[in-house]
Amino acid sequence: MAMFLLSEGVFFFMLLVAFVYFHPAPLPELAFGAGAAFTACLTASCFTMWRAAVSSTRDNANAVRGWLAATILLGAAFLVAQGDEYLRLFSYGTSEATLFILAACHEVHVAAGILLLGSVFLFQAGEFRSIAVQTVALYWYFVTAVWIAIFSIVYLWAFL
Amino acid sequence: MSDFPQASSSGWPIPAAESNSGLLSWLTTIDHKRIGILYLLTSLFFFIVGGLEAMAMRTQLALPNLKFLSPETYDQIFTMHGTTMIFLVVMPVLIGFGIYLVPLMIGARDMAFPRLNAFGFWLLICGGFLLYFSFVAGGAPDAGWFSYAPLSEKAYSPHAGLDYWALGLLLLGIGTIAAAINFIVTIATLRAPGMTLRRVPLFVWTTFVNSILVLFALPALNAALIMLLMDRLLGASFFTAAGSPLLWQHYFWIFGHPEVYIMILPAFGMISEIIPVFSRKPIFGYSFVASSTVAIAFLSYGVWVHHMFAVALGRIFISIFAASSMLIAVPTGVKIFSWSATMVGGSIRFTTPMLFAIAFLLEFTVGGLSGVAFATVPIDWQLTDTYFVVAHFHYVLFGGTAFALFAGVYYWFPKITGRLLDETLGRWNFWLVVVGFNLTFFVQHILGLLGMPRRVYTYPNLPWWGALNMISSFGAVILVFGILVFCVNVVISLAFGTRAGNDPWDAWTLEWLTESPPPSDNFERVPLVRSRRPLWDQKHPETPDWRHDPSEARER
Amino acid sequence: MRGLGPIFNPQSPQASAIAALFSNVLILSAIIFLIVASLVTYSLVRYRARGRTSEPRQHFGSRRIETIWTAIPLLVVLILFVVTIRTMAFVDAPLNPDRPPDLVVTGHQWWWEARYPNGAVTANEIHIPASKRLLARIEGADVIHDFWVPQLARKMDAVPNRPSYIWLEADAPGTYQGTCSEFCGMQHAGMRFLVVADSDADFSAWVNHQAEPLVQPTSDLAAAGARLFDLYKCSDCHAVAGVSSNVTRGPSLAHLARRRFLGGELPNTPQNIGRWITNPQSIKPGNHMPDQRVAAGDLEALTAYLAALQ
Repeated sequence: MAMFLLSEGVFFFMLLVAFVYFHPAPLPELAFGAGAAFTACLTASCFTMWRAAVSSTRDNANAVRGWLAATILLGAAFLVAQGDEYLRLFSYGTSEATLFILAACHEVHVAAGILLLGSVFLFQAGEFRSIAVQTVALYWYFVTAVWIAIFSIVYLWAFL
Repeated sequence: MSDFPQASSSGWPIPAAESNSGLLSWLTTIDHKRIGILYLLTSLFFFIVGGLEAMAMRTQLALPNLKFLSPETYDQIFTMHGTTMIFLVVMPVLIGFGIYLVPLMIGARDMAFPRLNAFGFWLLICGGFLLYFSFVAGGAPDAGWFSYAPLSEKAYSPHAGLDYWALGLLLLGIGTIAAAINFIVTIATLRAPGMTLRRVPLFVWTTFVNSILVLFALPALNAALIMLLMDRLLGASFFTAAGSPLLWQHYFWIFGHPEVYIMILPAFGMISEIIPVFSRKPIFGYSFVASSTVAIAFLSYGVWVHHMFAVALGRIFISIFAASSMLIAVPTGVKIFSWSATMVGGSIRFTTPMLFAIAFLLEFTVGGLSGVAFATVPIDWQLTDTYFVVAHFHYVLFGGTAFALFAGVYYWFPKITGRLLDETLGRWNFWLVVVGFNLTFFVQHILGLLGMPRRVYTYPNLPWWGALNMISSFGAVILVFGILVFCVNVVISLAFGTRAGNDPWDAWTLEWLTESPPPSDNFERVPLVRSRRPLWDQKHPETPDWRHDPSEARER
Repeated sequence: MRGLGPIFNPQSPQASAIAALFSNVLILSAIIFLIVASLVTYSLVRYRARGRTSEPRQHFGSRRIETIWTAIPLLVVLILFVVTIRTMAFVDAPLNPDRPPDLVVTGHQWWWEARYPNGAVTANEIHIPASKRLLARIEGADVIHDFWVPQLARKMDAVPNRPSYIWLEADAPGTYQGTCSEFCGMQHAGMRFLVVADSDADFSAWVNHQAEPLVQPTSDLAAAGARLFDLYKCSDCHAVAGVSSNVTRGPSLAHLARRRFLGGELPNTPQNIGRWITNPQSIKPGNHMPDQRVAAGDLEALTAYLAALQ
């Protein structure tokens, strides 16, 4: 998983470079407040993911399920809310292809992550293999880290 | 010395062995040996397709102003020839050899992720299918294998060929990354007891380093392809004239240059296995060869702009990349010395694999030297985009990688199939290929010097252009005969070849310990590895490497 | 070396500098190849297996030898780098020059446009004064092309929206072949051009004449052709006035009769003009000129008109 994430990291890095290359000026239509709220959502889900991973090493199946569910819910919230935000931006006529490509790729990765979490939740019933939860956790941390990078560069740019 | 049970992959149970015969078992296999063979057969198939494309090109170019192929068709064929040879032949064949050999060489039962292994193979099939489907869906891609923008944009290439190209390459890229991940984890975690990373066969080492290269290079291509698709299908403007056509070039070559090393490093590994065995000596300077491989991997990320020297990028910027490009020639070139020095003082057996390996040394030197000419920027300012480049990359990719692959096939065929390839046919194969190859491509250096640009469907009747092109096309015919002999050799030997035992070449790495072909579990037990040549130690208990190899002695 | 083609037959200071550098690199490469080939051949002869059954002495390497054979190539490469930088400085024009160019060359699919400071515009036959170092700006109109005249100058990519500069100079009057050197589509192979270096007097005459407005056709046939030129909408793509016009979809035909070639490749004869008008796709398949479906009777007049464009 670590190797896969290294590779995906380079992929997102290249997209971010393209974004920076094409956008010396910050985008005016971005709603910073909403973005910050959803970032908090995703970061929270990172915490719940961590708790799930820790619980899995202690063989506490119920706790694992609980924390996984929380992660899925927070992740889904992010997915829907941020997706909604992008649609709003799109209808504004913001044809910032670099932003949308970053956004779309990230959303796809979040969605895939939720699917992964779901499959671990459903098919590891009873006896959680800690390695599975920890592997998914790595992926989830990565997805959050990428989001923080995107958020910083796209949204916080205005404040620099 | 004691034997150990094999390592199995990291904790997950390996599914029970499936039925062994029949098409379905091959289609659903997750056994690394079968997947390796599938990769090899697929790349052989596409090699023939790519070769036919090349013959079409050489026919059209045999005389000036021929009308055998229209420019439209020619442009599709040269694009597909390059794309096929790179993504559907060279990369898969190197991955295929790795998938087959790496677990055997490290004493493992399979790759770390057998299902991911199969997944990668099926992505190869899907990607290849998508690419070739374009021929019947409005036309194949026709903007060259590196599809520069704005030519690759919708405005100048309206038909869907380039969309198929981008999608096909995306699929292939994902498959390659999957294979790379598999190699890294396998080599990192499944080595036989005692086999430290400093004792792995050089083919394993180069595959390992290569996989790291893949991990960091392919994503750049994927990002560029997605942006191109957004441009073409969703009206974005990343690489149009209003955006930045040069950004495509940067992104593509940030992938593209490591890519050419991805296409040669495992071949270096093969040569590093073959020359020692047929010189009856260990490789001269294992650590040196291993560390120069790492140096190449690092440096390969810092040279990409040398594909863009003809663009006005600023003298200082270009100079930096000229320096790095010249620098990378050093770790690449000194390997030739290492291999040559291995032969000095040896007892050389002129088997077919050895013949190809020796020819590799000379051909790759020529290719490498023409590469250094390109690093010399003002020379590049005359010769880039001419037939001199075409000559250069064919010398390194065919004279280099393909010759190493021929050597590798002759060397490992007995292990894979249990039968030896015929030596007489092997010699015919060798000489026809050597003569054909050099006739075809050496004159192309001269054509470049005479001013013939590349990617032209025809050319004017200028002095010597016709004659040299005719020689080149004639050479290609001889090359085809050589390859035909190769195919005949493979088919005949599969049926009637002399049976090979476990170890027909008297070699020293672990794959020769087991039967030919290996049983489904590879090994019953593996020995404790105490040096880089575990079988030498077994065969020569009075002069084992772990006592005589200075790098082993240092560790004790 | 002359027999080895235009690169080794340089006709300008820049091309000569490159040729000199290249000669040295070739010699160096030959030496290195000979060293490798000799070492390999020697080993093959001296160390071939001679039927002995015991293994030769197992030698594992030598740090000292490896250091030497790394250090020497590093040194060679360092020297090569220094020479490279010096040649680059001599050959290359600045990235952002501080003076206006003497010539603006624009690459189109699949022809070359040249504009001069006095307003003259021409296509595919680019005249320059000999023995003068000119600053040429290279531009791309649609896709990336590459301007390459091997006997005179380095090649330079013509990137849309990103003009670049080269020195263009010819030691002596003469005609020098050029070709596009970056794959740009179907007629990349046909995108050839000429650089004609004239003496000072000849060049002034040429460039002044090229900037002159259209001379009215003298014969009735040619006059009829002039009217047909507009009727068939040729003027939508092709300018015939010598002075800068904005019509650049197709090559300028100003003073066409004075050019040696049509379309960069076809000898300029009235018969070939006729062939081109009748069926442009048969000469350069894939080019952007549609079949104008010129009536047989009109063809003679049109050809006469174009052939008379002095």
